[in-house]
Amino acid sequence: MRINRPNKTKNVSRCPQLIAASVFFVLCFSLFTGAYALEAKRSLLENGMTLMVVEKHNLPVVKVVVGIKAGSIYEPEGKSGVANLAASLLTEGTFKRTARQISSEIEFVGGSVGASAGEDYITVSLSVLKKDVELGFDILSDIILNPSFPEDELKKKAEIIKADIISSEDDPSYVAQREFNKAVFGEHPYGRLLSGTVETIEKISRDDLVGFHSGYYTAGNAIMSVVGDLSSQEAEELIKKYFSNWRAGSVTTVSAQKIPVQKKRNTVTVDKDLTQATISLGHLGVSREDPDYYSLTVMNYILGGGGFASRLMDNIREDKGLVYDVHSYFNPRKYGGSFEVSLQTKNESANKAIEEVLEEIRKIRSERVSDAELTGAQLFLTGSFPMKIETSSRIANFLIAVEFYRLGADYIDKYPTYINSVTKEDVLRVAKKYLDPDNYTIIVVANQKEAGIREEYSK
Amino acid sequence: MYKKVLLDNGIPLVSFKSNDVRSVCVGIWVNTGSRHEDISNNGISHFLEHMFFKGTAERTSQAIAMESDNLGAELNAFTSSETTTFYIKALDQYLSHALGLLTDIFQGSTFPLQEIEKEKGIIAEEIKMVEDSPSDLVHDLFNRSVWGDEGLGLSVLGNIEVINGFTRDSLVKYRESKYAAGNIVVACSGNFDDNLLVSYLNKTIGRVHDSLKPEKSFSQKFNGKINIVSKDLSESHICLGLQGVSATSAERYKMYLLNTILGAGASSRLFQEVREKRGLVYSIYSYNATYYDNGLWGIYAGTDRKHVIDVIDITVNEIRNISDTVTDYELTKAKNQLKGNLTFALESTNSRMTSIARQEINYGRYYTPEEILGFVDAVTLDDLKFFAKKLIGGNPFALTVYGPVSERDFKAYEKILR
Repeated sequence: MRINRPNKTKNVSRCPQLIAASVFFVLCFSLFTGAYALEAKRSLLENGMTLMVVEKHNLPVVKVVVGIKAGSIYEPEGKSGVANLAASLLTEGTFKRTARQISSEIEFVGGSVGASAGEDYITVSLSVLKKDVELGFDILSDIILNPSFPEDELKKKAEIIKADIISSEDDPSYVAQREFNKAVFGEHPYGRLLSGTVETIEKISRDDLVGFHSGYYTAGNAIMSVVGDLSSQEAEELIKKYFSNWRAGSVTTVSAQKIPVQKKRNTVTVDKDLTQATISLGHLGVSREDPDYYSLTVMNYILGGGGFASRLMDNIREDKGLVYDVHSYFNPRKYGGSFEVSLQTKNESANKAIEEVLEEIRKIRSERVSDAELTGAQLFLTGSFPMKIETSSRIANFLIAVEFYRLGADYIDKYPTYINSVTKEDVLRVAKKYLDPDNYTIIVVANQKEAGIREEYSK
Repeated sequence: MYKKVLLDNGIPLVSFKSNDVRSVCVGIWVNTGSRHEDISNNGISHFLEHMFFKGTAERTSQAIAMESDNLGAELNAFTSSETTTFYIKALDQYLSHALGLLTDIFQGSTFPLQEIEKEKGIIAEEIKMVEDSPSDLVHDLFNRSVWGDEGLGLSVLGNIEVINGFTRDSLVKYRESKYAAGNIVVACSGNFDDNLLVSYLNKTIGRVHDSLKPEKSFSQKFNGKINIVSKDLSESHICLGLQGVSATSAERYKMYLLNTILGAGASSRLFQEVREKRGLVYSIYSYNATYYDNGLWGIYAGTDRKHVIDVIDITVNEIRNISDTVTDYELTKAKNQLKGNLTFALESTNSRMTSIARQEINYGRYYTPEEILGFVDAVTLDDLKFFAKKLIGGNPFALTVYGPVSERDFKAYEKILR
């Protein structure tokens, strides 16, 4: 397994000054109004944390998500996996509670806490019944502010993650995804495995975790969303009580790490005794903050994002019967992203499926889409949007993304306009600009003898 | 607000209205799945489910997909061992359009010949995907070992050779025999207009024929067998289990509680003992598979070859000892966990639609969350201990291991399971 070297980060304070403890609301306004009646109150706390509160009183539940800029892009050189380990060890012991106490205390009241790492940021989540919200906040602040990263828990967690990595080698989709990110992003941190590798995990010490936590887990790096049966005043009081000691730190930024742009075809084959070929085809995409994001969303919906209505599905599944599923997607992150088509087909059909994917990419780059396709995409994207943010959990995670990617206080109101203002010309323009049927990466995880990938795809 | 009415042909329509959401989710549940098949037509329920999206007298398959998308809707279906479900979720303002689409595919599908042939290839791809995914395949292997080559032992997807033999005639006949009023429940959850819902459904599903051939029913024996399937994989996948209780059993709440204590959540016994304390597995959990007349209490664990025996040994010990060692604290925790899960699940219109439909199918009635929590709260520690003793007793465990292992690895350990 090749290890990608992480890039350097800068402007990360290791000795952040403590800021006055009291939580003070300096900004306070209504975030969303209008069509979907999702009223979020956004405030910037004195210690630098952004808070979003949505009151939802239909059920006695509260969901809290804390997003912290402590994802894998901030990992130091050679320590790939530290962000994931730090996040997953939050629930494995604090200076006040053992791992078992954390899980028992929260599960005793029918709630849950958990943390998961991403590339740009990590999230820590709390789900709890309203009557136990006090305990929920106590545990949430304890695991975020005071994790002790016990040596024995680190050892165990590292073993479990390593076993998981080894087991995932049997999963062709996992292997294809890992190879795809590695090939497309090269040495950039987005090209690494979030979990780290067996080799890098072995090099991570408790000191690495303590250092990573103290550098990045700061209030200035955090966004908190509170959704559910809680008034904003109740939320503010809880935060004052449980998070006022969170030091501000300094806000993390990442140096402008260039993602190497690929200008040739690149084929990676992984030989495995499988009945099916798992194929990923694509290249670099865009950042979530790119102004073309919405045109790309519409274009990709027509190409392969839109389930049974998409061209790839219609051609490769419905017409040719080659696959059970085929999808294309842009995976945008903060500092860049990827475009990928993924499918699984019989080993023997691999070449045919690749040929059809490339043909569809060429087609959408050369002709305008039809009126019906454009309208269909716009109707679906705008019509399904409110249903994506119906539960507390979805709203809470959505609010973190809105704030992190600076989508704007009026994002919900504006989303239909963003999508509906995309024209057929925009679709053609972004297809030409962002899709490349000549310089791409193909990953084929298959029985290579049976798949016999044609040379033209690698040259 | 829950409501149940009967459509003109007797089909129960169960609904739960909430004014605080903007979506509506409607599902048509047919009591037919892989357990109603036999080895000669295994996979036909799932195959049929796919064919309902391939065109009607009014719409081509492409038109179905486009119309659904134009509503921003989620139109989909799923098949299990006992049911086949078709559902649509859309914004409340599109209710009549959504019902139009859902009922058209349900009643007007024509199963075009060329689509049947194409679908055989697509389902073959789906079957191969499962074959290439060890943590999914081990569950199919386990079910087959536990229940044998019929009923609950049959996989939902079926096998490729049998599927290749399906004809339009066999599909139409199968639909005729199963898709009858007496076998259907309709469920709706979210924000909707009652009158519109009932009148639309009466004009459509309310006219489905109600002649139904009696379902063959037989009780299946639980086989506590050891089944070792060798495969050159990086890790081993273990399924272990005992006969559980049925979905309709009066003891089902005890079963849920016992399962929660054993293997649901990070504070559960198996997670703590096998993963947290000993670090032997990367994944372990227990589950209840309940059917209308039977049940399986299962445990899944993923580990490396050298720890397989240890994991089985410790898990079996945990289960054998649970009736003597379970505490009041664990019982209260499990009750609260079930309470929390139940309350959070009420947020989603999909899960609420599923919940009221399953209740109608299993019990012919609705239990409010408060009633369910009352049943859960009523279980005492003595009840649970008595139940666990009876369930576990000296009963043999069923075991399936899939991975880099061989039968002889287990010869010396058979007694653990007996």
